[in-house]
Amino acid sequence: MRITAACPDTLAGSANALAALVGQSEADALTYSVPNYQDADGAVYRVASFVARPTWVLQLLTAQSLPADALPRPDWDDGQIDLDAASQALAAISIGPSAAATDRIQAVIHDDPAEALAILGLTPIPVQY
Amino acid sequence: MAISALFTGGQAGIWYDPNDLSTLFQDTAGTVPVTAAGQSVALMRDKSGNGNHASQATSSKRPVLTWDSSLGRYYLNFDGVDDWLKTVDGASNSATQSLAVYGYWTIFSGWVSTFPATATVHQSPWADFGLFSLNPTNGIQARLGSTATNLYPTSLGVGSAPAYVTQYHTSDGALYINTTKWSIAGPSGSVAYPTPVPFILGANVVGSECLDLRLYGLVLLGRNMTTGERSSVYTDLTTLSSTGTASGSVSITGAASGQAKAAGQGSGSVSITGGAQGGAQVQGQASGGVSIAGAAQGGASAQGQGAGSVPISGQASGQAKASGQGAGAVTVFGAGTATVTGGPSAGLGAVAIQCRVRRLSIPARVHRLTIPCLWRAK
Repeated sequence: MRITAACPDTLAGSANALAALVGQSEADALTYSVPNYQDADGAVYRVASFVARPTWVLQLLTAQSLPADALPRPDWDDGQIDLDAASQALAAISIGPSAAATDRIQAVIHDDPAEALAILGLTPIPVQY
Repeated sequence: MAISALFTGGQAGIWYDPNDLSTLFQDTAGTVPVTAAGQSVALMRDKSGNGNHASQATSSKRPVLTWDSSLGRYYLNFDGVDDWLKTVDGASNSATQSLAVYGYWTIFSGWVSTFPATATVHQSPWADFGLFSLNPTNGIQARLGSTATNLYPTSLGVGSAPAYVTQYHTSDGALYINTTKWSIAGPSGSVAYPTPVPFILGANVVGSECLDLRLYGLVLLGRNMTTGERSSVYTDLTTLSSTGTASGSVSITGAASGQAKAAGQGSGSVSITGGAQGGAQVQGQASGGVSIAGAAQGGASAQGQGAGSVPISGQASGQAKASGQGAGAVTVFGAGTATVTGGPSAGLGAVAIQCRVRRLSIPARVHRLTIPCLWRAK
């Protein structure tokens, strides 16, 4: 399944910590690296879209109930990942067909990322050339 | 001329071929190969010989290998949200004079992307080579440095176009859509890069404005292409190509105008059905069958040891050719030409020709020859 997640700018650090925790390498700490979308009110978001197995989503939801110090570090991590920040991001995740909001990380499951962005109510931030 | 010929003598440039799975890997180190559709691509190797491989370290930003059943080939699916690939620094400096992209892109809303944006888009002085900025108002926007020209009205298919090839030359600002030169010229001139810059595929320098793109192939060359080269690149990019061992089948159905080709040991069958105008070719040991059915105008050939059958049926006007030891049957139904060649121990199979045939050449032993209709030999 494809997941498109909108992270408000204020939660980017936490979301990147979580992305590194569940990712494949330290490079996944750059998942929410660019403020690239905005909502109708002009609030800025960092959006990532990726393919994941359903079991991965279940594991993520299960981890929401774990305390920060119980989150398992990946093998490649030597203590760089901020588990408290990752735990904060986990608590802020909401999965479902809802609009993006500045107080949570809204994740929409949809095969078409363009449709997911429409559900999130986001448009690309124009760049002046 | 093959695309590879463009890069002889150390010619700078880039060539990506997502349909060649041997160039794709699931990790940036290139140790885990991509083997099937649905897998994300962390590394795509450059086939030009220049080492301009494109990679993406962040998992969520990787394009996904996808199978196009209608075209019978793979492409890289850039999701239009955050997917992009990047070469090492310096790849763009000497390889930005001519570009050919076999792509299929869609625009959903707003300003979407710059393609292929380069590392200097947001730097001063302007020195980028972002050829194809896409937006629903202006369509394709050709860009050279700080100068941009809108070239491609959306009415011509942005948002709904099938796969097509675009090529752009910086010497004269000429844009080519498939084989047609677009009436409006883009900016022209040279590109002066202040520093070695990479080539970024699918996004701008900071990773935003990502492109919703199906990438079937891409060629950049460090000089402008000649007319003949441009035509050849178009043909090659639209040719179905699969190489290596145990290649699968390749088929074109419908109003296809491309070519189908399978090369390597154990190649599978190649078939063109419908209003095809291209050619079908199988090369290598133990090649499979090649068939063209319908209003085909192209040729069909199988070469190598143990070549399979080569039938052309319907309103075919092309050539059927089988060469090599142990070549199989060659059958032409319609106004075609049949050629069978082989060595002294060829042991060729049957040749059957029905209806008018302009020429028949059989220089080796043939076990059975059937000519049931009018035949005019040369």
